[in-house]
Amino acid sequence: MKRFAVVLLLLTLFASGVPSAFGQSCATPPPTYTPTPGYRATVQAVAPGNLLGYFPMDETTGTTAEDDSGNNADGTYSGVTLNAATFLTGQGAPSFDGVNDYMTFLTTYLQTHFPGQEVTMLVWVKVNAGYWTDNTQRFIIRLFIDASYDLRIYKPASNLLNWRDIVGGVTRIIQNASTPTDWIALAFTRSESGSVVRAYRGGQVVSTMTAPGAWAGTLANAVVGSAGTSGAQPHVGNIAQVAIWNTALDPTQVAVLATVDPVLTIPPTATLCPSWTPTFTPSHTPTYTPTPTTTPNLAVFWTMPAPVGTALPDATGTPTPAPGQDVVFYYTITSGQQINALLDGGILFTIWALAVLWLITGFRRRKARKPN
Amino acid sequence: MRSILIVIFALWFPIAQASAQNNPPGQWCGYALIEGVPGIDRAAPILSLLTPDAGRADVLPDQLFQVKYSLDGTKAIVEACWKIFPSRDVIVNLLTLTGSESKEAVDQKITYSLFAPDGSREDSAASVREYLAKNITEWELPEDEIGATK
Repeated sequence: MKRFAVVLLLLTLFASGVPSAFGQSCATPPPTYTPTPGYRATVQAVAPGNLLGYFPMDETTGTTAEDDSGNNADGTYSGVTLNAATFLTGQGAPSFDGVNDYMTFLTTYLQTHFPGQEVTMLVWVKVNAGYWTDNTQRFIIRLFIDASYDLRIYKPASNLLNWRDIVGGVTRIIQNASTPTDWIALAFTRSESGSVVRAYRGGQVVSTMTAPGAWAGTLANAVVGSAGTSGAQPHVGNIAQVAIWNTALDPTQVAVLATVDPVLTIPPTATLCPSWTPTFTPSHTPTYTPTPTTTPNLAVFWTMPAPVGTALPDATGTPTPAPGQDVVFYYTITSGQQINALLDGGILFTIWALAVLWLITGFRRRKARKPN
Repeated sequence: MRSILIVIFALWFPIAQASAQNNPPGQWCGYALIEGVPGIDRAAPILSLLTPDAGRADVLPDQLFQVKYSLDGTKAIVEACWKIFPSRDVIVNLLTLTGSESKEAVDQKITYSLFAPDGSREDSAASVREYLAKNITEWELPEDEIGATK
């Protein structure tokens, strides 16, 4: 029984990866990504007084799509798979299944502050393979009252990207034949005071329409990823960073919103092994050579880096430096990380070794006690 | 005694590791099509009993019960991470609770199909999308008729 138990334990530990955990101190971890906080701040800084809602959609759990505009007009997810993709900032983004998923953000706050006459809708989108050839209507974002007042960015069955402005029952459409497959910012602005409606793709104006109709009424729905809360005409792919303003942003502002700082990629941190030998290849040769001059009130002057060795000579140009004016460098490669790695591995191995020793000793002792 | 402890530890270790991976063990996540049940829009919500509680703070939206109805209201595509595998028998039993018809009557009327029941959630989703593409006129309005779609 005991032999069986010991074998079972060892097999379990082996299958569970404990042996590899012992060797983990030498493993190179995968690259990690640091989210770029700058984009969130950028959105919040563009016409902040007119920002009605901003939904990064980077949640990892729950059904609430947090509104980061400061208005606390949160949205609600239905069916989406959270954190299924990575947005350009490194933040997570949900995926929409192309069946019935959506996010609705209609709130009393939005209804109260969305006049319709002056509007900007911003959304970042990424589509699944086959999206541009599936001959299926797929909605990206839609704000509407009824069939006569309806603002949308969507892809109809013709597979052309559409910005549709339906006001007072009059439909005006901007179409674009591009078929982006990576993340791209789409925006739609309408200004009745400026008498212009603009469609944007990737921060650039796709087309402009003049003399928009007069918006009237209160929003009945605001949906991302579907034509409505029945899940009709569903998007397939990813959507993130949705924002709504009650002003028509200008092309410069939209261009800023369509730019994301590159993700900061932190290179793999090599966890140091005991046998690790640091190699240093200088990639930069200092070209600045200070001219030694005798400055009356200059006591010491260290040029850094030291030319050779560990002594950093005083470069004041004083013919005979006073004692104690030079600096000696001390450099150690034993980082805290290395010590931690050694401790982790050592403690685990010690526990494991003691357990095995304890079992073997017990087994021998019992065997010795058995009469022949 | 020592042997028993070792066996317990050996059995506990992989279980603890599995639970740490946060995978709903034994659950199938995917889609099913229900046809032929009168008043399916009223009957289908009872199937949410087989799915996670929406009130939990740590719930994931794609694990919850979702339903999409055909335009004529005679069919429903239901989706969730099912706490109990949504076999035909389970579904018939639940739907019987919502109407006045006997289990046998419901069983005779219903057409029930699972999308990729042996596959992953993505397999099931891809299977549904393929079905919807072939039967698009039953499920989605033409562009000019979307109007005030809710």
